[in-house]
Amino acid sequence: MRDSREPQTEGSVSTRSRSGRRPGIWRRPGASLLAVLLPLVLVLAALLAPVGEAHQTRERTPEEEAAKAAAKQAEREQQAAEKRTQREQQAGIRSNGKPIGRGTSRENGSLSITCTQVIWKYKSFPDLPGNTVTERITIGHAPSTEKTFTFDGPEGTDVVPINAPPGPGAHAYHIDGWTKWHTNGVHGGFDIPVVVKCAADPALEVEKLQKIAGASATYTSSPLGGQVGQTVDYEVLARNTGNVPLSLGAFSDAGCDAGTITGGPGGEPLTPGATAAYLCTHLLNAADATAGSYPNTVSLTATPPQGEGSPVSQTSNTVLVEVTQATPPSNSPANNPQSNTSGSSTPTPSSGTLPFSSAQPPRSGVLAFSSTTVPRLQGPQGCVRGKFHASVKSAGVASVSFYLDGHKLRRMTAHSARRGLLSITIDPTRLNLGPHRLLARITMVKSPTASRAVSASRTMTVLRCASAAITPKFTG
Amino acid sequence: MSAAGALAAALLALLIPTVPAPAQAQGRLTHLSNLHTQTRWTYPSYEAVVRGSPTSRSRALGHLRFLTDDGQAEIYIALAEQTAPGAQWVRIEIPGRPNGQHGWVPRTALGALHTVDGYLHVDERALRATLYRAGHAIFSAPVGVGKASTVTPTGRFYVMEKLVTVNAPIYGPYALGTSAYAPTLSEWPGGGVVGIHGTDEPQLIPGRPSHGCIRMRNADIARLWRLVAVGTPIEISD
Repeated sequence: MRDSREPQTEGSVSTRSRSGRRPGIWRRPGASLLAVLLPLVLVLAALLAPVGEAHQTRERTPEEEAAKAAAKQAEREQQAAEKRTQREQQAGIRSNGKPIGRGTSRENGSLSITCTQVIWKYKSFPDLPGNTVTERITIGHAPSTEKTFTFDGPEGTDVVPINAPPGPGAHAYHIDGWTKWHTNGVHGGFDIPVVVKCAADPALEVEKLQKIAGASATYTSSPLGGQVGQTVDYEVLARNTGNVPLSLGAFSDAGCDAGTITGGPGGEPLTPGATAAYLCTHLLNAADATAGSYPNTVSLTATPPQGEGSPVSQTSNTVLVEVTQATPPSNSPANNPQSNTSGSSTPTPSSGTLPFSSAQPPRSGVLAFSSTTVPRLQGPQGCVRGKFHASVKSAGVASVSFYLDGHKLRRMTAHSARRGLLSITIDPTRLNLGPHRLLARITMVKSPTASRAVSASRTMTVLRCASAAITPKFTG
Repeated sequence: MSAAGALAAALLALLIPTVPAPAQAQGRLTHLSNLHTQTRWTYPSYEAVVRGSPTSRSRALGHLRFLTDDGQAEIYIALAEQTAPGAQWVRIEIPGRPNGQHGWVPRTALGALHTVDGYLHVDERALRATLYRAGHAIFSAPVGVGKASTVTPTGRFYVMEKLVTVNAPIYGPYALGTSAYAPTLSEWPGGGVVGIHGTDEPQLIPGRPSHGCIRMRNADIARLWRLVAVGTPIEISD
């Protein structure tokens, strides 16, 4: 478990005396004599001081002048820093800069930072919908990440997961949280650095996916059906979910046919958050059909840098192909693109409400599409809380019109029908909690032999969720 | 074994071979989850009717839901898949009261399948929770469970949601929502969902102080929260 350290307290304000005068000195014995002599001494000193100072000025070198100027500048900066610290302490915050604009952080929000998350809490905002703030997080010397957060009403909490790396050696470092707003008639912000020390936490996830070679379906973890003679394409995704780089050893997979393994990070360490993909294949054979199915699992071991944790091993999920003997097709797929005689099987739609055909497109060399070969609409699964992308990607897409809950959002035309990637960004923060229907009306490129272009609709459900930082309703 | 028990066992033995499972009778059945080392879960695609057997003429048990009572995404464990000509059905666990219900929905009503490895075992007798992954215990901690009047339900459940608690010290810093419902607190706000969470009374752990929830010391729930994934099965035994 990585720990986090609370911010170190600011340096205390200097309490040095400016006068140096000691109370009670005038009541000591002999004070009357001092009362007579001291004015005389002071008068003499006043007379001599200008002479001495002028004498010193005449003998000062340019280096001494520069040093004196630098000292004065440093003193001015020190005084300014002390004043700033006093202001910030009065405002109840610690900052590496001035509060920005109106509205102090004490009145409008606070921030807590650990090695795994940054929690922004806002309060006393206008009781209006759509209060929007801009948040920026800087971890050590890494580039900053910035996002906007919108909430309704006077209060809002945003939990941003982070993956802070261990500090250099045993040292702590800064995580800086900066926020600024100009929304619904108010503006302000704050900038708070926190010193943290995060422990090394090597972690790895391994996922195995499969598809029948030649099928247009994407990789899936679901069971598939296949026939002897067909090839299963495997994809192994190794994802670094820890906070230190991981070196992946030589990859071997007993479920893959010899010599078919490709991909991987190429000897480079896998950085935190990165994913390496290995590809390999297996040709389904009679032995697989006799066994009835062909399961496949893989284990991977990854090693962190020396002194940053122990090697981690992870076993993937098991993917399964139900294998049957090959049967002669009744029709050629090229003549009947909607037939599924290839036996590639178990359609497993990964999203959307329309079944997705795994039928192969014709291989005549001329673009031709049926409604079953129109690509899927791809987008987020599960909760959406911030901006997300929805896209249609396939060669041969001419245009896409996106609709959300029946309202047209945008019509997009592919600049290059061959590339065929059309993507839209949607901000769900103004949507009500619950499901929303996203529809894409997709028109394919018209083939030379067709009377008109093929078009079809694809839908998916977008789920707008509440914040995950809430007061639960559990029984307790 | 008592006479009544023997009679019940005999009746059960007679019944089992004569009542084929609907799934096996109507198509090829593929197990998707073993609830220990491999569990598949998914989001719903639409609010499909959940049925008692894999046919559209079967009795309805309820509907799929998109959101939990805390406004998070509701997920479903996919136990098995039946492939029959013209239709695919998936057997799922149904969160809700009474606990432990299963049902069938069309495959198209569910999204992509996600996989988790491991499960959490909560032993109410030993007052201890243990998280297993790849067959090995990787986390163990004492827990507080329900008192006699508001017991923690036993059975198989799963982690539905992961929450960061706000303004609620009684739940500690983190909470896990489960598919289990307290058997006696049906009027509780939110329906009586059993959670696994921290506490502001760590001195009561281990023990039986709760209304059905599973309480942990805050340091333990913080560690478990990080280790456990949504969809992880939970076994609660007494």
